[in-house]
Amino acid sequence: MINKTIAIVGLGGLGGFVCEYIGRLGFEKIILIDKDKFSKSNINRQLLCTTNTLDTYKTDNYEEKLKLISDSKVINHKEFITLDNLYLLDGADIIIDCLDNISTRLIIEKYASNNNKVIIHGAIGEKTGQVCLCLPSYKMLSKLYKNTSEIKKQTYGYAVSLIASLEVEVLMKYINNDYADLVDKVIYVDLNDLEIKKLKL
Amino acid sequence: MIKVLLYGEARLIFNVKEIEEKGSTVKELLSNLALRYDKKYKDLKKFLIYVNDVNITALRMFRTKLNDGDVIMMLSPSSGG
Repeated sequence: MINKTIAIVGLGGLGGFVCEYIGRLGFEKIILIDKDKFSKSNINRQLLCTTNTLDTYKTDNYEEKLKLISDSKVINHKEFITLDNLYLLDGADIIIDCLDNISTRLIIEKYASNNNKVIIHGAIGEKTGQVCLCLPSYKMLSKLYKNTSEIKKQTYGYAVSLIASLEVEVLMKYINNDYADLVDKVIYVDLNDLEIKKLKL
Repeated sequence: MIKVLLYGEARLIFNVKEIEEKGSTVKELLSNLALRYDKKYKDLKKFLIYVNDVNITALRMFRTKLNDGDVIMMLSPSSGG
């Protein structure tokens, strides 16, 4: 059992796979945050979305799954993170960013910076994505998304699970104090070319 | 010539993965690309741009000088989950 509390913010494609992987690693406490229910459009890439789980809360489904695969204490928040409920993250040692929009990412970055918490960031679009370790003072997400506009692109389950795996690996490197080579760097993934690059932001 | 590698949204916009273009600075290169592909220079400036794997924010931004054989990478971060 790893003596840490992990908050997974967003239980879409990335959050679902991250939940599965960290559940099987075994953490003391896992906080799940997402207000959405599964819908038909989620089936192509979201782990627990099936015809049986449509219109049920994602947090409920992942909590149930976690209870089958781990002894972690699970906290279930059926809410979207906003400026008004950032206290939901207060108990977390590490925040896993599995969000689907830039504006909420920037909200949690400010919160994490003010509260000296670490974010493990992951995002995906089509077959490309990126992962990085966001230490409190580095403003990685602000730098990454400077001048960037939101673009919604179709994604694929196998690409989502790869980005989620990388997020969990970055998490474990941070926990094991083996992250010197990740500071101020972004891991870019492009499955179109089967390329992974680690570059300074 | 400068080799320009395109990733993510940049690849979707140009509809190719690699371009060869002239330019003595990043600004000149982007201007040439904008002209050649009928794009706006200001839109191309929004991408994360690396020269030989170094972010131009660590160089001289758009005034960064380029030499024959340099490799430019243009990419945009994803934001979906």
